[in-house]
Amino acid sequence: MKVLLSATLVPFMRGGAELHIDGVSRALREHGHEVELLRLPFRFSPESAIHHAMAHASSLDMQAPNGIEIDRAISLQFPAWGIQHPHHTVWVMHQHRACYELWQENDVNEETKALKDAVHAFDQRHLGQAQALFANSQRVAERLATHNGLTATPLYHPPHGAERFYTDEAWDYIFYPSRLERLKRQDLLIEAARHLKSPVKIIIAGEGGQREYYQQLIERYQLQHRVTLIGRVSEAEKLAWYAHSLAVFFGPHDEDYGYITLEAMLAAKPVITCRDSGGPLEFVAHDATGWITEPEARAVAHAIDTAWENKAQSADMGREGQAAYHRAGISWHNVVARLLGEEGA
Amino acid sequence: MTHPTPPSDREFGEIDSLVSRIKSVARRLEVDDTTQAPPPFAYREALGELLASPHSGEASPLRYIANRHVPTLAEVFCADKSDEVFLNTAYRLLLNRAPDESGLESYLAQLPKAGRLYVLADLLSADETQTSLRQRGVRIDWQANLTRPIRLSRKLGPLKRLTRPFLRVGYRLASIVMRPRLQVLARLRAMEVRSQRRDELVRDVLLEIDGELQRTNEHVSAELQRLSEKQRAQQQDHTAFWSALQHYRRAVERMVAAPGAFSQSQAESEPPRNTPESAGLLSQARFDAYYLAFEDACRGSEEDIRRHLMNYQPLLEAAHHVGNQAMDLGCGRGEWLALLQEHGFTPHGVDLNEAMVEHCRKRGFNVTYADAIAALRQQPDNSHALVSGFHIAEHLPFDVLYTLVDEAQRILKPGGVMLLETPNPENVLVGSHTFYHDPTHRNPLTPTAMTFLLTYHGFGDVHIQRYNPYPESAKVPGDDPLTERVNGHFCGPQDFAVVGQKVAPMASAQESVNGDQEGV
Repeated sequence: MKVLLSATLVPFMRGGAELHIDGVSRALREHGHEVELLRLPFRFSPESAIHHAMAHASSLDMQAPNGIEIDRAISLQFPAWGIQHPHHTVWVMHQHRACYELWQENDVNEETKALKDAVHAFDQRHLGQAQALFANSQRVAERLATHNGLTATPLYHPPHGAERFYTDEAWDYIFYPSRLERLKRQDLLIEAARHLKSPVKIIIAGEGGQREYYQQLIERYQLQHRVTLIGRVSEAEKLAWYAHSLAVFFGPHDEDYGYITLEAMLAAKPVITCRDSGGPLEFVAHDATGWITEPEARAVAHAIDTAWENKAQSADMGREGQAAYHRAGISWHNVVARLLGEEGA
Repeated sequence: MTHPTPPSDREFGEIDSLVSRIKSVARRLEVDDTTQAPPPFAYREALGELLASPHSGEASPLRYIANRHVPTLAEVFCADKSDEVFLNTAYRLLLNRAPDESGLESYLAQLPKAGRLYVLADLLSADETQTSLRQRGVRIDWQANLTRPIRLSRKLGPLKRLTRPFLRVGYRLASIVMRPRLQVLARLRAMEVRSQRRDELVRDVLLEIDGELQRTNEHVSAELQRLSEKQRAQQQDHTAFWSALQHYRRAVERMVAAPGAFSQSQAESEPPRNTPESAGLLSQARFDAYYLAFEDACRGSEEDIRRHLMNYQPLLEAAHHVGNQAMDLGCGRGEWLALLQEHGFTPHGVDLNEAMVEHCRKRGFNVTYADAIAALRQQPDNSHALVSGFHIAEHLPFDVLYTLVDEAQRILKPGGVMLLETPNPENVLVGSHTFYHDPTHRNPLTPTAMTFLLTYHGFGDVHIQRYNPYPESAKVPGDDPLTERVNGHFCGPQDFAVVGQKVAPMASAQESVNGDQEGV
């Protein structure tokens, strides 16, 4: 069938969203559907640009443009889910975070307040009208329920290149690949290194705005022999770092989904995460497939020491995580079936 | 607040080496592009490539381009390659595609007349080339000079057709002049690339071998540790077995000891006189006096003996952990008693020689004139830290020696030490000659037999200590195997001690023995 996949495009800002959109469109094609990818340009500021983007999306009737009937519409991002189609499935990657979970009540002016109201109304209307509403994760579904009173079903998808992950013997380091941002809390891991009793090394991969700050932190605590920022890594290097790690750290603040949890599980490694990390908590079972600690340096250090002291057990936990991933049925095949309402067919 | 210790260079090296090792693993992943984990000994593949002949297989010339975004003239010229290879390379680098059939044919025809520089200049003058270069951001630093003649001729307008033959000749001549230099440059470049690749391979192989060595090392040391633990466990089992057996033997003896048999065993314990059979001819007192004199004449001075006894100091320390009651059987002139007293023991000597007993008592020691077995039997169970006997075992018939060890084991506390010193018949001269100086000696005892005797009675950690070899001056000079053997047999240690420690009975054996007693 003809499927219109709609998303947004923020020029030259590539991240996990890109891989996600590519993944959905490839999976739909592989299942024999004709896919047209519609990407609406999006700007985060000024407020007027967001008002315009919402109005533009709402104005697009995609039932049969130019007389060509489209069977299904699937939308992934705000405000692309504003398009009109009688068989519209929305799979919410995340909402416009500035108006929801990142809303700062003490930093409000007339314009931001007006925008917030408009965005809430927009979501209320278009997400409410969708024939089927899915969320990228339990966490995103919870937010839709809290803020918009909408019921969305969590639908998980595999990380990019899931089939290429493999496992190998542990070389006594903790791996944390992520963009270097405050919300990802690499500083928690760096501070944890000060309290380690074991000789475990900390390998932090990725680029980002906080690189300089994190580097200064490492130098201030004289942790250069233990902690290193290795910057951007190639796909192959990422696979190798995962494969040889003792455990993977993923302790961001209130993450939506987080591929890192799943990638660690695919590489059969236990995951150290935090009570307030959001997405990872849907997959990590404490003491079974990893450790869920307080977001506090000593607690994280203790989890790392535990992983090192009981290496055989850590390896078992990794394998258990790998099994849990496969039991959860996370696959593109499943995603396509759910999005098109074909499950059980 | 913990202060971080300044990191050492080695630790920095560790994290760097970790990064290198991962990069090496990743390079293999990129090459294989498979979902498979690298197999063990993966470095052998790299080793194979390293050892393969450098000329095996015609590598693509594109491989030797240092930077495809800034190719040099020498790299595009392919002076050491055929015309087809040259055209393929030029098309790839300048147009980012394979040559089309017609282009290939036309240039192959022109090459003999016009040379490679002309073909390159012609290709660079095409619009498609310039677009492709721009799009890919490729920089050709040498194109301005190379295409200048063609660009000039184009300015002539309709006349440019007439200039072509001259242009071709000019380019041809330039090609011929530059060719040797470009050839050298091309070869140099190929060598550089090969050597770079080799460096990479060598580095990968070394890193991998290092990893493989570490793995093997860890494996082997884990295996060794496992084996030695197993051995130790077996050793312990062994000792525990003998000790348990001793306990059961005692229990059985107690059970079968009928009241009637008691007096009989009492009677047996009358001190057997270990004097010569001809004691009737020689009164005991006169013999004792003779023996004291004999001792003085043959056993060396008290100082010498004391020096020798100091060898056993570590045993005294071990025994002291469980108490201070010590019994010395056949205490003789009391050198050992003196040493015991100095080390905080309360020694109790036993001897059958009245003159010796007298001698010791004068020195203020607690010495009993009694038979060793009788003295042992008067002691309660588990009461002593040390039972010793210097040069007494070889005076006793075996049944007495056996009973002596058995009783000593009974009166020792767990952890207590048993020590018996006797002449060492491993030294042939001792066994055949000096042993018989003493008229009261019976037969020499061997280290093997004594070790078994103590082990059998449930002593643990039973071992032999050898002392008093002949002085160096007595030895045959030389260090060949024969001399060593002669010196070993004839001049080796003249005395040995068998030492054992009473093993704390296994809880189960103890319980079962107690249970049996209750049952009786």
